[in-house]
Amino acid sequence: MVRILYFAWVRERIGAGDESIPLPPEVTTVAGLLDHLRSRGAPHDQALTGGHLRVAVNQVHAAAMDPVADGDEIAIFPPVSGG
Amino acid sequence: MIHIQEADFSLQAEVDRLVRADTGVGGVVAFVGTVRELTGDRRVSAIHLEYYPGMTEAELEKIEAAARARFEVAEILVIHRVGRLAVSDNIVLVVATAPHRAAAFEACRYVIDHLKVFATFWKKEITSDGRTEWIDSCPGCEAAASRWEELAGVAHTHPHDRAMAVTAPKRHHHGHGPGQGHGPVTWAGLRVGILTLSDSRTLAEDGSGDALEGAVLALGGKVTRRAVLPDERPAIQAMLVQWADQDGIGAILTTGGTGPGPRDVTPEATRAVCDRELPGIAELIRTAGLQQVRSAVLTRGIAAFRGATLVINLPGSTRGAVHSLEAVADLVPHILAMAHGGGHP
Repeated sequence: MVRILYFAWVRERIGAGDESIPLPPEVTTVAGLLDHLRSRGAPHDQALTGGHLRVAVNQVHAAAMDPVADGDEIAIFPPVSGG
Repeated sequence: MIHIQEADFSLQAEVDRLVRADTGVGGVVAFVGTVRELTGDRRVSAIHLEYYPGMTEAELEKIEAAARARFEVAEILVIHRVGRLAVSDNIVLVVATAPHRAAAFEACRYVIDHLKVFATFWKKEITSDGRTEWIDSCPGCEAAASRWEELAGVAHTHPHDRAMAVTAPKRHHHGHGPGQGHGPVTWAGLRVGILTLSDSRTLAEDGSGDALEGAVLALGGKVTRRAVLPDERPAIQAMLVQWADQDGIGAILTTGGTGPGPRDVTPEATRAVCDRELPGIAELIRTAGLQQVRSAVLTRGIAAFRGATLVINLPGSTRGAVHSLEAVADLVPHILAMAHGGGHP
């Protein structure tokens, strides 16, 4: 299982702040996970498209080809706007 | 020190507290971010700030640690509010204290520039007609954060590159060092020797040598020789010759013995065994040091070749040595390629 957290407008479009899902064996990267989530249809396909989304794996900023593994915490969010 | 809270802060109270806590402090620089009413043509009545508990604190701690490593500061304080804030309310406070003002100014700026790009906060504007809109990232902010890496002359893979979009479309990369820009700096395959010159230190207490070894490893290089020698020219020269001619060292970093003191002879020893100087490298090191402390210009270090081996004289202080190395690290692979007969890429 992986725990997925959503923030800002991503959370609003998904309709939830977090969810836990099983990680299919063929999903091994951040990009793969996003594809997998979008393939589940609405609301994920709409929410996770475009908008220059960012991802963090285990609370560290991650890139598209970074690995994801069982037990990870993955956060998906828009570009940050603090300060 | 990092605080994320809903409650307001008092700039004066925080500054008073920091100054009273440390009598070595001579300068305080503070930045306060506040809620602005007008964004483009939208009249904002309030904002809402959310954050990622756990990650936001960790990101801010990393930024603080980076600022402390780079600048001679006494303390760094960040207070960032979350929740609902009204127009003109305080959002964020960044305070840097230092013995001297240059470090305080630089550190304060560094921290807020990096907070804006890396810290996981998100702002939603609430306009007077009740509509809400999430704020996009600020276009100037990524350039501002990248500028710090360009100033350091390092084009390594920075976390900034990791914070780039993972969804469409491909974005233009910032954050590459001057004149470079074709991927991360790597010293892969480079055998490096680190020679510390000091009348008092031993290998067991060689702070700057250890820090340089860490830096070289982080660049992908291999440190195959380490030594500490007193400030005596014959032994220094003999060591440089052996490492370059016998031990197959590609780059020698010396640390210490570069000041104006009577025993500081590293530049003379280096010059005596080398055949071609690279004055631009030494100038770049002094220029980078000047951003931190004026006395950086007193370092007399040189950079020069003995055959195809590059020798770079770095200052003896840990911070000076690492900072100086970072100022020129991206150029070294290129220099060595050219020394071996390769032309400009």
